Amino acid sequence: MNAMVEGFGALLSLEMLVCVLAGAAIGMLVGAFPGVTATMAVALASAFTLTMDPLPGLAVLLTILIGAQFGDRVPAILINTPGTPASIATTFDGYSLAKQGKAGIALTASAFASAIGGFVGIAVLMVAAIPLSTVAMQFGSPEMFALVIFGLTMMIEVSGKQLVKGLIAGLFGLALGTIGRDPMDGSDRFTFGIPQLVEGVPFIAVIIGLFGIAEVFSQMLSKRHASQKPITNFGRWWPDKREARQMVKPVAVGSGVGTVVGVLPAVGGDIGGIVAWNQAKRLSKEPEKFGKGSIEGLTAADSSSNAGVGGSVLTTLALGVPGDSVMAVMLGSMIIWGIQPGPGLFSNQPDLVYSIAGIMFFATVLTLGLSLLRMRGVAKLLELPNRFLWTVILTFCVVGTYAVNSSVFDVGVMLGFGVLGLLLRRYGFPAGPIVLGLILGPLAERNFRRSMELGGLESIYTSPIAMGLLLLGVAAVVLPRVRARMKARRQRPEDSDTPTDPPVPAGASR
Amino acid sequence: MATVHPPIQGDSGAASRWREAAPGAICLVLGAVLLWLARSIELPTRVMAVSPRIWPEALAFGIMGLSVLQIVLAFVRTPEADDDEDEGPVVRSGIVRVVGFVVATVAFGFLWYFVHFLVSGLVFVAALTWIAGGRGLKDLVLFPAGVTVVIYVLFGLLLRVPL
Repeated sequence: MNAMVEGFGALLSLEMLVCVLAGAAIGMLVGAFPGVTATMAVALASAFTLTMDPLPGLAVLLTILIGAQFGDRVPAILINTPGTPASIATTFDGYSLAKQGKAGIALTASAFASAIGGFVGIAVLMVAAIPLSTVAMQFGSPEMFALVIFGLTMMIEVSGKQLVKGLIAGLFGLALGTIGRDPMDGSDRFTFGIPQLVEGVPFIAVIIGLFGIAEVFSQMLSKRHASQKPITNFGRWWPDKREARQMVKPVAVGSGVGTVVGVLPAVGGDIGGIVAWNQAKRLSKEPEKFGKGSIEGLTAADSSSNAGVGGSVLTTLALGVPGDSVMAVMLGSMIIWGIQPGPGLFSNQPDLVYSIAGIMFFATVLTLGLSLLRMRGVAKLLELPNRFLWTVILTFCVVGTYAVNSSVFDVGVMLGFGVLGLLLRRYGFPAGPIVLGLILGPLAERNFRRSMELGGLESIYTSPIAMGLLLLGVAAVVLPRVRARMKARRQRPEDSDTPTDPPVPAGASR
Repeated sequence: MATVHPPIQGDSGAASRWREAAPGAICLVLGAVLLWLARSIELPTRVMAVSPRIWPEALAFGIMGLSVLQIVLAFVRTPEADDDEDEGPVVRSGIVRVVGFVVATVAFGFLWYFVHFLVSGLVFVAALTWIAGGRGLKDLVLFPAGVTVVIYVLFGLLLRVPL
């Protein structure tokens, strides 16, 4: 009880209020602009939050993520383009509703469903975080090594259909993680006499380069344009009683599915939304309306992708295994603040769970309020010329990266990785595995070599927890593929559950 | 959600195979460089259970193995439509813009050493806007001035970053 009081008490300050307000505003805007992803925004924001205390900094980053999860519904509903991949399933029914003159109802229903899903995810985080951490506290080096390997299997999920390329990218990320001090004897390794590399590659610069700069460069290179004109007729804003009743079951289904999916590493809100949409369709009395403007489909998808945030934060903080790219970025910031996510975090600082849950709760309430404001202005904002958007993003990337260490070297690294990120995109290499490798690499190497020092390979294969985690990693890779193959065999192509693929911001991760 | 691309025939198919194989070849070379670097790590005087070279060596072998696989797959597998379909086709003006942004950023780095951020930043933002297609007083003066002041207030004054 004390931890809860202390955790929530730490949030009662003007500074925290300002941070949550700023994060919510930035997040909503980020989500509303297709092409500006939550990962990119959190990466950029992490550069200038590093000078802040950990809790206010976390408040900004978490609120941006939650704000983006609300804001991305707006373009999904109004221009049939998901602001971030988490709102892919929103387009299935959201745009159809908008075309029927029900954009107002769609936006309101989506906001409430997202908020309820978010609250469910937060509740799960509060209940499960400390017990999960306590179990993980029993982990020694062999178990930690197995846990990190389990986390690294998500590279395969992040890679999508480009499996070999994703694995190569991941191994390069792990290789980048070897630059700096040797984890065992502290000697310099691969630094080439450059003092800035002794502490390792500046990963905030790498992340901003790969996600921020590369995205801007990619948009410039191909001059992508939105194919749809925004909806301007919003119609009625509040659902009537019948429509409100219709939302109850899909929101319950979506929240449940989203929470479970969110806890799994590497499964983001996009997948959660689609799975929940399919489940709600199966359980609906009017499945034929799904994909043609069903409020049930819309609310199931949105509640699910937001419920997933709580689960994803739980996995990242309690186990130290980032759930996806945006969580990897957040994990990087926390390490710089001196907070080491992993088994010891919540056991040593139980109040932090409640502080984080409190931040997420306030952020959800605030962004719900912002979402309910009439959004005619947002349709205008979506028409902001690219020349302004690109310039602002690049300038903030440059100054933000410099701000981390007041280092021009870091800006050079960022620019280099921006160009590299652009080349990777053009040749179909996903950037996510590089970040995962860079962050988890040193942890994997340290625990592997410690295990070897302690008792050789035997220390790993005689540990039931380590072997269990390794088998779980294998199962996480193999089972979905076996199931997908079996399903593909059973199902004819015309039996597709989801509507035609909607446009997705290329290379975006959340 | 994956889009099924039709196989590509003829010359474009061959070009696509080489386009897929080229990054594999580059990665193979980089993997070999990593292996060479790993083998040049000095061994500690005290005896350790595993060599400090083992981790980077394992990564290098992994990269080289997967690179070979990538090259083989490029020639064995039916090529799919270009990734440009997702990213959009490259336009000449886009290349000019990207190069312009990179050059402007490097130039800004030099200018910043000699001139205060409020001036160098203004020039930098104006240059970026011009490269991105901005023209006229609003685009090249008012907008850059606004952005520079916002950044200076946020980073320089509020966050106390030495700009």
